[in-house]
Amino acid sequence: MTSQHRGRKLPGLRYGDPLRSLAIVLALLAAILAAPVSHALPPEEARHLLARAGFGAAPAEIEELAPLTREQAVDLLLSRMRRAPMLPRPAFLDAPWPPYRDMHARMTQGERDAFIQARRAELQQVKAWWYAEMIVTPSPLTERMTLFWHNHFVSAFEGVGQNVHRMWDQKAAFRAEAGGSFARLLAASLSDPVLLRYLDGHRNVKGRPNENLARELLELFALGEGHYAEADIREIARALTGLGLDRHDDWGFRFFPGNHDPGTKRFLGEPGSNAADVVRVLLARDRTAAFLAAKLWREFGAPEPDAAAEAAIAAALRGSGWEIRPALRALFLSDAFWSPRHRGALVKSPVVLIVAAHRELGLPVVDLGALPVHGRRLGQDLFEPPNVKGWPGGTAWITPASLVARHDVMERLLANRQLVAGPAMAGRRVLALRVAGDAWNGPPIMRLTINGDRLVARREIEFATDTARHGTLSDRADWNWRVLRFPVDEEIRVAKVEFLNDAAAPASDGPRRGDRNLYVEWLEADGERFLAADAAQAWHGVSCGGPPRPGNLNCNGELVFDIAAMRAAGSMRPRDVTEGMMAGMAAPSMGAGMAPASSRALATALPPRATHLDARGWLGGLPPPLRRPDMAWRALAPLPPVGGAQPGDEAEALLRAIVFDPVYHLM
Amino acid sequence: MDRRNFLAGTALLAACGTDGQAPHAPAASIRAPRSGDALPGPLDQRILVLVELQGGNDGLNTVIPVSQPAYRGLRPGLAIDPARALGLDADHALHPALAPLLEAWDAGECAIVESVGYPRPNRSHFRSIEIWEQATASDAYASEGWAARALREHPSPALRAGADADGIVVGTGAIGPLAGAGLRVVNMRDPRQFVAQGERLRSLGTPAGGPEALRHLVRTQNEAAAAAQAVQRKLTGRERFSRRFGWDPLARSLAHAADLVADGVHAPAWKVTLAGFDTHADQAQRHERLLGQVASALATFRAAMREMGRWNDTLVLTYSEFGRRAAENLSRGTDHGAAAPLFALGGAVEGGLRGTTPDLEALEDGDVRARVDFRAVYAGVIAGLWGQESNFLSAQGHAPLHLLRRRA
Repeated sequence: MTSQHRGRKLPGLRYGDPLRSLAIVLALLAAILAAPVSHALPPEEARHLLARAGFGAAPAEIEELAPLTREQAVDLLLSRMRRAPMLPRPAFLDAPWPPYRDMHARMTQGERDAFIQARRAELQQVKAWWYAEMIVTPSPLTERMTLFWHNHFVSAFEGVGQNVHRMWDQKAAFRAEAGGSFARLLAASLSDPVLLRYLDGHRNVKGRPNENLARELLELFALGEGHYAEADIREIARALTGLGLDRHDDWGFRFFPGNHDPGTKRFLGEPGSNAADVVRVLLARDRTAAFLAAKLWREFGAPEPDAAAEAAIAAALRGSGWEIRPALRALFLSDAFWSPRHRGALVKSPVVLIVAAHRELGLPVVDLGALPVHGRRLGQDLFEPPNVKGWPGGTAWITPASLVARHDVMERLLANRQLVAGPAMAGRRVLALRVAGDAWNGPPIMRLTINGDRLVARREIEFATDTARHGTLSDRADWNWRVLRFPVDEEIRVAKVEFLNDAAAPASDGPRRGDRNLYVEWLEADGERFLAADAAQAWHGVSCGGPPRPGNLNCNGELVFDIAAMRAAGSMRPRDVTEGMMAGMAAPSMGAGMAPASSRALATALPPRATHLDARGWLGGLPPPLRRPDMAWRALAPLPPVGGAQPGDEAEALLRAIVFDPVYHLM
Repeated sequence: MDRRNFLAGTALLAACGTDGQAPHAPAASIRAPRSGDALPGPLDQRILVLVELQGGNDGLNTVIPVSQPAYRGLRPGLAIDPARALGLDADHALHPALAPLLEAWDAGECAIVESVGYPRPNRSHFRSIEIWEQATASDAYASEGWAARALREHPSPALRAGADADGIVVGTGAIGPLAGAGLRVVNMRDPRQFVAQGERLRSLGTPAGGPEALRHLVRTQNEAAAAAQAVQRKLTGRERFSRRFGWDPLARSLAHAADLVADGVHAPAWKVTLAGFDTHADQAQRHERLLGQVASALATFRAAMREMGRWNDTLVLTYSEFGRRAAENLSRGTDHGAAAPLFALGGAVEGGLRGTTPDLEALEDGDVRARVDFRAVYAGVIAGLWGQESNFLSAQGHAPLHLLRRRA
């Protein structure tokens, strides 16, 4: 009930009537009870708002909203919307652009294949970067809206000439207008080189119209099917002739007057001539606001239409001149948004599922590059939607195979906690090493000492590749990497890894002959990771051929991690996300990663993020009313679990019972 | 150019010595496959095993056109030494790593279809594998995999009725050809993990109320659980064949598949995957290792199926998103190509070379031309293995390429 009910006169009663006095009192009581909620947000309501307007609800976020009213909470989230990301962009974007202009003009097919492969590798970096941004951002709503525009003004990497640089620019523009202006976005879409390429806008020329852009503009961006005529498409296509791409500007936007059909056109009942007129006419139609309002409601509210909520959203769009924040405010403050009828009505998209799990469960990121792969497995490959309609969403995310895959992904994400902590080492310091090896006539032997002479381990690397059978494998990714963990009882100041038993088959065996080697990728001391590439390597005795590469112990030698010195020098100092960025974004030569200065800047720029390496930490971080086994689900799900599991008191079992319940996939 | 004419042409070339140098004579002797007469068993026993070679398998170094001088010219570094290659006939030799498959070849149970591809080839991994999985034209999209559609549209209920699942995907590869609504597909890394997963994916009762999204989730979970339970019920954990297989991912997946068959699990379609074929750089060693894994795993699988008396009911089919370019690149590797050969193995397979040998003098944009549409191969699978001669692919104009012996 809204405040409109207050103060309404009751019909049909006269003054002096005792029944009337009673009626007035009752009416006043009803009005007081019907007033908007003006007390603190209960945890379930806070969770609902945060999950719908972001990625899950971390306990600290629930607590922050607790003393606020709904209005205050919504205004807080809206005020935090950003125009720029938190994280510095992937390094390759700071380098000069590769020669996109030469792709079809000057390159051989082989060169083109290599060029595309390089762009694909960069695209993987960008995907991983976006997951990182979503996990650490103080404004998840900004990223949800960026995703919304990505799925509204749809384009896909393969359909835009693999131009990862321009796709980056487009997503940055979406982020800049996440809480900004739809009018600006609609206008920008007609000079967006990515969209033009994807929808053949650049092929639409006077005398030879290509209607693809015009059709999708009306059907997908502005009006929706059934609200325009074929004639409108034809006329708008004429008005949009001349939009093009300039090869010499690496396919940037350019208007080609010679290609533009100059005559008057008439579309949607209005005269107009060019792209600006098309945008003006579209923005003048009520239908445009209604279409966008309906889409926003389906994204954040419920799959079923709600006339009142959509009307309020549309009114806010029109009244504010197409500003998004007022529209979101109307949405998040509508009755329908808070109605119990729509609790759990939305299905989490793969990206939301993965990011929300990290944010609300405090999961560590062990391999950032794996997150986009998980997203793809679940059906949502960022930058690569299946077709021009984007991802349909809703229950389409859930099939028997995708549900099994979701469980698998959740299992892996939860297992990342053990990868960082190690199961049997709670309470002790942990030294971890990622190593691989080549074996020949027996495995390589490694010795690990700390702080001078304290022996931690001397062991065979029994999982080393058998080079007698397989030869030496040139591809680093093929080596049999494992993470070894060692409990230690003192602070690790210096760690030394030695390779003790170098050997090789005689040279006469040929270039693929068997060889024994030890490889180290990184060392973790007390949860801080240091790359072998930044450590100091020395040979024992004989010098090894080839340029030295710390971490590749091809001959007997040692790799020394002077932890204090490396920390001071700004070697990668991984908090959970920065280490993942290094792992996911390093150039193929391992260890390239990010420059120390920027990694330090990154580490200090990140807001603090609680990670919980076991479920007890998570449970203990919940608001006090929710710390009971029968209440904890309210922190993570919109509805009570249906699985019927009776987990008892144990925190890990409780967490798993919720996370593997169907309700965890609902928002 | 078809094989018969090409062979005649080769003889002529050999006589004339077109570039002044005699083409290298294949070192190995000719191996003509025996002709057999085994037929597949009843329809409800038949098994398709799809083996995805993920990354784009280099066909030209797999089935080597040894009598074409252009081969060495295009691949000065990567060309396989004819002295090591396993000669099949005057013009064809196999990569030496495929030696474990020779027993099947000699027995007449291995067919190789050459130059398989599709018009307007796409060289993107993601798009091209989608085309192979959905069996569409390169500019079309479908909502399900080709095998899923074939099973769904099959007129005979016997094909699926007695099966524990319609499709079983073993390993970490995509469901791909078996993806589709309404199909009971089970996806498992290995049986042990599968059982653990089943404990998470319990059957649930219908929820009393709640939003449609919840009801959909519960229905879906019940479907997945039912499919999983049907398979789980039969697992004995005996691992009858597991020890005979190697340790690479393909061998492990086929080991699990063989053990499941031994446990009495039946599904008309299975899929396994081996990744790593995208050999842009330093191809020689890696390709040899991968082909060795493929050959060894398939040979062991054949032995296991023969021991169980199921080999005549089985058709193993390899596929890859594309072949690789005829010329090697500057990194001692090859880049994305187009047409390539595929292998079909089974007790009732009519062994030998099919399709058209690649003509290295008549490449298309530096790639092997597609002379057999892969959809004709798939039409042949649906017709021959699953007994449906008129199927959705043949209806599109792809005459079935029959790989299996048929009853007269």
